Amino acid sequence: MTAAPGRPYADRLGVLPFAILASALLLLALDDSHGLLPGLVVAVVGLALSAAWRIIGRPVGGGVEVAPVGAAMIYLVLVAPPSVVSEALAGFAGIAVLLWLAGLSARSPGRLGRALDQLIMPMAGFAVALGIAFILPTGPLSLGFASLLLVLVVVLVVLILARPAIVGRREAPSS
Amino acid sequence: VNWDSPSVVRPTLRTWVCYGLAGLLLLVAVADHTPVPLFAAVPLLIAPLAALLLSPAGREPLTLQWQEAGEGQEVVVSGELIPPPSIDARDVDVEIGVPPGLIVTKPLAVRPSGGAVTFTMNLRAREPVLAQLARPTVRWRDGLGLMERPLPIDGMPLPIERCPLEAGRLGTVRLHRTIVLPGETRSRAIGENGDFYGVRISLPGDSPRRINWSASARSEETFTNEFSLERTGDVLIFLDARPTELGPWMDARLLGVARAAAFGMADAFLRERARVGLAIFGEFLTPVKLGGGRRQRYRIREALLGAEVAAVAGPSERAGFAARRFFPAGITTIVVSSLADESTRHLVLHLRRRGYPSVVLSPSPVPVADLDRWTTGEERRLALRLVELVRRHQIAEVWSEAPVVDWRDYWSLAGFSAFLKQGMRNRRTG
Repeated sequence: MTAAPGRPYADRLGVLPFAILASALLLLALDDSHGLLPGLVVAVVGLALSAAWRIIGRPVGGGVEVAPVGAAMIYLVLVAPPSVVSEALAGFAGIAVLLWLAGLSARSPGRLGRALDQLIMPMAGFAVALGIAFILPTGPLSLGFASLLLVLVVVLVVLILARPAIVGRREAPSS
Repeated sequence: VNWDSPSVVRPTLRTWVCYGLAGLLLLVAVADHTPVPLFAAVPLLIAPLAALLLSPAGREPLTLQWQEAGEGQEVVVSGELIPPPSIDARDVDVEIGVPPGLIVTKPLAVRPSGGAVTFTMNLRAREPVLAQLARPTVRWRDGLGLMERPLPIDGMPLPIERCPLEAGRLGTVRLHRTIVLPGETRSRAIGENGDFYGVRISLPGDSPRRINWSASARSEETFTNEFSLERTGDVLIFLDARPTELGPWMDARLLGVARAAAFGMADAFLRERARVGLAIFGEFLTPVKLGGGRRQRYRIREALLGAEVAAVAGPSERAGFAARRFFPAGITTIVVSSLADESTRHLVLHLRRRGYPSVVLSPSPVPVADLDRWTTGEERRLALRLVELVRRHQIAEVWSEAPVVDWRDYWSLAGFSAFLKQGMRNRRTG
């Protein structure tokens, strides 16, 4: 019953998170090393497809409709020149994707604030990564180091998710 | 690992979408020797971990308080869920399953307010319905919807009773006492309940609360009050839950209407202190023996809630002899059956042969018949006429065994009520 069949389009889309996502991708497109037009086209097409999927398509749930916008983001970060601005915009785009993925709308009062609260940790992680990028000299060594760290995080997360007993908290039953 | 355990936090599909996207970003970063995709991947990788860390501990249940309101066909379900202090009300996700026979007119609206979660939902009963809303499925879900955990609930399912309007008046039908040879004597029970009947000398085992102190003070004996409980009689409601030629969808819909009618009638007779029994006949007979009072009402409601169209139709003979094991012969019997095929029509014959004088309330399939396959108005009119003729023929066949009321307006039992009263009056005077 959470997925109301007759919800208005704006509600299904989630206007505010979508606007944030769109602005992040369009800013990233402006930073395209191949020129302004290809980046803008890719960003607009990705955004339009994802928005249409969410509005018109049957509610699949789970945010699979983020695929076109994800593909657009991958293209844009790939063609962006390595610079602090590009890296900051890439992080902003990642956070915007998370926010839109949450499927928030005006019908879920309180959830937006809650989602923003939860974004503090990813934003802090991103800030740390950006700070380290300032400190470390740009080159293949630092890239390899960063990739290794990310792979370690992924392995750790997969391990935790594959063994839910680690996550399950066993407590004495309440009286 | 028991994934349904309430203590296990599970990743949702969104988590895997996040990691899929992050993995792709990681791959292109390594393949293209560019650090920019890594920065986009960082928030996507950290967010599920953050959600995991924020997940609440403890297995304390949420307290559920809900009720239904509304008049007639409208059903307004509202209530609140009070989570334990470890769970933020904003993270509680609620789902309510709607049983068949009810249509959602206003979707579930969930609103966290203070420390509780309030919810409301509007439904409409298409036909009379006796249903039960199962307890809501409640999950804790983080703000981004990346992790979830089922939450236990402390509360009861919500019964929804929308019976035909005149069902409540059926209780005034004067029934007859059931004995081996049916007679005209009204049933009377002397006991602890009812109106004051008289006094008698106390016996060992009598409750001190029933002692008549004034009468005892006037003599050397101790006297006990006696009460008289007058019953109007006994009635058996016989519900035919066998599959028919109409098909499973129509059978289920007609049984839903029949269940509501059966419950409305049982409730009305019980309020008049009659003893009511229920027999649900699918493949086998499921009985609720004769009884009275609120406990009997509960038993009947539970039995009706569990009644479904049987997968296999039991033979009509079985209904007759199985009923004799649980109900005395001669009892006034109301058969609720669609009479849609021959085997259901034989049911009345076999019940009568076993000594159950029956009146048939037959929910007509005509109002719910799907005639949309005939596109033109002329074809539809013709189809409707044929359906009406078949129905009339079916009813005429059963009339030779027992009186039948063709029930078309599901929200009204006025015709049946009038028929029953008239029939009983004739029987008494005749």
